[in-house]
Amino acid sequence: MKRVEAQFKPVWRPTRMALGGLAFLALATVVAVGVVVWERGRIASLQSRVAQLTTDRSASSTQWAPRPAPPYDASARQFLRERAAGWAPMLRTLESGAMVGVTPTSVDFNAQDGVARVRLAYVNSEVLLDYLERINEGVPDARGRPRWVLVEAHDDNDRSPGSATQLTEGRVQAIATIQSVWLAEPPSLNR
Amino acid sequence: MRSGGWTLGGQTQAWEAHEVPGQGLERWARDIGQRHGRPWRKARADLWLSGGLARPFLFGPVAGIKGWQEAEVVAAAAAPEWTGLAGPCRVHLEAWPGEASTVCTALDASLSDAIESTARACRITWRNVRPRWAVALDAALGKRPSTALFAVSEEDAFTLLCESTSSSPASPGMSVAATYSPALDEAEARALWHRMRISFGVEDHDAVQAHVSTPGQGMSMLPEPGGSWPPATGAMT
Repeated sequence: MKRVEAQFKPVWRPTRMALGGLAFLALATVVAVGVVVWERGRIASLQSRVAQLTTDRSASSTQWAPRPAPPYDASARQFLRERAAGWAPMLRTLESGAMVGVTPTSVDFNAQDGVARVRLAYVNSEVLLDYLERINEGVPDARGRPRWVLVEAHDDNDRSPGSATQLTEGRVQAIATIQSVWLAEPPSLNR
Repeated sequence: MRSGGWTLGGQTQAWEAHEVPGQGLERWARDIGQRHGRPWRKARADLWLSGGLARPFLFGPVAGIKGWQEAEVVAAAAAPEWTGLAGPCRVHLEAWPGEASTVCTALDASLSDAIESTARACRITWRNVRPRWAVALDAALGKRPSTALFAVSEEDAFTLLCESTSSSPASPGMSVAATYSPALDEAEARALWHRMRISFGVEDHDAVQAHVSTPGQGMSMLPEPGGSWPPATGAMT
């Protein structure tokens, strides 16, 4: 005779709570996996975007064409150069050195090269030299030398018509020309 | 009057008879909970049912059955007629009934549901829910493997299992599986016993009968307190 099992032990069935827990775990797993996949995709997209931007940037930096100069470039540079020229200190030296016997008759200032030429009427050479000495005080040039230099002077005895000597108020005056350089660094056009 | 019992930790704790099996089940579940005493852990207990509750019968062969579920449905439908159980039944088939008859045990469906719901409500895990006569048969086969005729006399039923010794060895099988409930009196049981022995040609040493004493005395009844169940079987000729 064989053994008779006759087993009526209840078959285990998951309860609703267990099923709910399993469903929740499954849902949470699906959501977590989805979030991870989505985040990885987003990171990959951002990385490719960054790589593309880097490539574009490097390519554009090497292929930039030089910027053409604007049509007003030359005029603007000349204006700035004239504006930066040393008008004021040049005139101030002339005014500070005014003395009897020496009379500036004309001032010619070329802002392009910064050269100022002043014609002087003077009574004699001593007065002219004193005048030069006075206007050179305190304004040496970049290398420490006197800024104003005598370019041209005419002898007092030259009375020939058309010479540089002139008759002013009954007195005979000689004509001399002095010159100085007032260069200044023009401001840059590039900001 | 139907009876049953339970064991905890391999030791028999109670065997009682109740008019209504559900009431007995509730009391056993309550006792198990008190004896277990560890609410954070489920109690693991065995539940034994008397022959009046779990009744065997021979089922089949039935041709045309396609699966186990269908076979169980057919057996459950036939169980009330063959066993005398009143309501719908749950069955346990020992073998496939398509080609040869097999032993089928029937249990009242409402009791089966109550066993399951009680376990769920009282946090009990049933390790076994088996008829007591099946456990007694295990013990008998353990002592005498050649057993061919086996009977269990209980307070509410007399269960008889017989295997014909003249049947072909190629197709061994049970010839008789039946429960008589209420239990037969002494004379009827003895007459049936002898008739079976003669009809199926069973030798004396292959015939075993187990007698379970009348319940109602708690732990002093069979099985003995602290012992495994069933503890004793006796041969009756």
